[in-house]
Amino acid sequence: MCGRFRNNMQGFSLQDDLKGMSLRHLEVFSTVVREGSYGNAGVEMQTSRTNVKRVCEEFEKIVDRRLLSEDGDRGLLPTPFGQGIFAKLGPLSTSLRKLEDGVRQLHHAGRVLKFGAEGGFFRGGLFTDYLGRLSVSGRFRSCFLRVDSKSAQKSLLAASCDVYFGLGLGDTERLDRVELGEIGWDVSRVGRGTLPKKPGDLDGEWCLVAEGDARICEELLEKFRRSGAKGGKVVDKESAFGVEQGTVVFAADMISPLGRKNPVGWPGYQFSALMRRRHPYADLKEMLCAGAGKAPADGY
Amino acid sequence: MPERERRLRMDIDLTSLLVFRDLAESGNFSETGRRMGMSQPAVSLTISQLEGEVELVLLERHASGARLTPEGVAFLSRAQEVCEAYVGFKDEVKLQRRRMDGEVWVGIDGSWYSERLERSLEKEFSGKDVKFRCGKVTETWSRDLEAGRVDVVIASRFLQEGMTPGIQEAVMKYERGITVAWHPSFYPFDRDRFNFPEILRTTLLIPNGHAAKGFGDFLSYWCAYAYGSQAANTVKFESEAEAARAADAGLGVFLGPGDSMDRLGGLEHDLEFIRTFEFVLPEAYRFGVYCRADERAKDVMNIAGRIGRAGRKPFSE
Repeated sequence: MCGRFRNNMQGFSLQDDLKGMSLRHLEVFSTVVREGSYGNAGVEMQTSRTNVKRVCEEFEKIVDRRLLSEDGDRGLLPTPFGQGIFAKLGPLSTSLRKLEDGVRQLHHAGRVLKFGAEGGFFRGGLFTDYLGRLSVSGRFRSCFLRVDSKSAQKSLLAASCDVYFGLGLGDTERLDRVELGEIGWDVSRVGRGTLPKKPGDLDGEWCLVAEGDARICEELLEKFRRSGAKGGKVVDKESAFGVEQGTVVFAADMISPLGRKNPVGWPGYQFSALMRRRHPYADLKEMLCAGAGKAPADGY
Repeated sequence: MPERERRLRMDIDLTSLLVFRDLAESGNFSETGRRMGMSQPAVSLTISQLEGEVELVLLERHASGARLTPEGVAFLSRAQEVCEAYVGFKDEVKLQRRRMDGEVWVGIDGSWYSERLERSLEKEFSGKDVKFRCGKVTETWSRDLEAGRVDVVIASRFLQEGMTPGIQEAVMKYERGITVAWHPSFYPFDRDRFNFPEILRTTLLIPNGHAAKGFGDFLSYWCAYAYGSQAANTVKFESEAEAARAADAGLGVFLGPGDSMDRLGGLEHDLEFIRTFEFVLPEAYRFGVYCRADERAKDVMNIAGRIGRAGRKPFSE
């Protein structure tokens, strides 16, 4: 339509929108009108005069009209358009207050936090001890989902699970990984023989039981070798029961609490948590790290 | 955290609430994107930002779409009121802007008459000291008009559809009954012994609500009420001409409001037609100019009046 008419007819679209208007714009503008100055509004809202002015200017851009004007003696006054807007703000402000209260109630009641891990993981002392150190109660209502490692990414991105726990978890696209600490080994030998005391003692048949990402397992095997071990291989959990007599088997210790140190020189699996990037629970990473006794900056 | 600080931290983009509400209804990111005029990734980002702002997981995303979490359900029930108030506020802002600028927005539907009148408006208002904009409206034009999204609407409608106590109407053209048209090579209907229920065994080809508001609803109601059944299939088209072309290709039977064949004069076709229900449905199809019943703005009334006069003359001849 636009441009078809030569003189005074132009087009419009009902899709044209006042995009970018936020709760902040309405709050700041209302406060400025009530207080009659940017400075007083800043004091009232515990923010700077510059911030208040910037938000008002943003709001003027959104509505495409001047809303406020300086009036020498009388301070800052709404323009007729601004006065009209101010008069119509009531129902919207009221409903926004109710929404804020509602959100606060949902937070107060405890938000749902869905932990996911492979079956059996939740039963181990490693997880139960860690869970006990997480300050979940009061903030979250936790629930536990059995999710196999292949479905972890999908489940996290779909938001059907908030945090996925596991060992040997690798970096995954669109997910954040929080390393919670290295865990110890449950070392055994099939048949008779002494157990190795350091990686250099490993020169016969030995294997690592695979956990998580295959690439991480191979890297761990390589670390053993760099520490002096010779030979060795990675086997999956099923195959670990059928290894030859005399083989030393390194399985992740899922019983002992986190923090039990590996003897010096033994590399170990990382106990990690995966969560989707920009997860709405802003304090989630901090909480996960705190449970492991780490500062967030160290954790990821 | 002190109450005040908490409140200042939450800075919801109000448009994101509308996106969330739509997504909760559609359950489909692409569909919501289409309805909100956004791309699918933009919808996804908007929802993520909203979730981050309120620090709640509102939706679970699946290959088949999105589903509200229990917190999402609770949030939606509270967000509905904000959405209504926000839409109302936006309408008020836009209306006030137009009033201050002395500008009038004229909405035009997709009917044949509206398109003809739109062309003549250029001449009618050429050089006149009036400020107005024309734009397309959909079949929700009566709601848009009452909400103040447009000031004047030029549209056609069938029976009572579109009229509410909040709207006033100046009719520029009335027509009786409906038109039924078919291609004789495909359908052996007899014009002299025409029996309406026979066509219900075919595919009905009709203009949609954008071209003739209320016509499709009327047919559906009429078939159920008078014959206890519905047509085998109904296909809606953007215009009467498109529906008639499909009938000419033998795809079904055309049904149009009032005297459709008169409006399809320029279309080459081999259709046979009949006018029916002329006495049962007098003045059923009407083309008019509409504005709010409580409209006080002189500019609006002035333009609505001029449009009414401009439309009445050519179409009544």
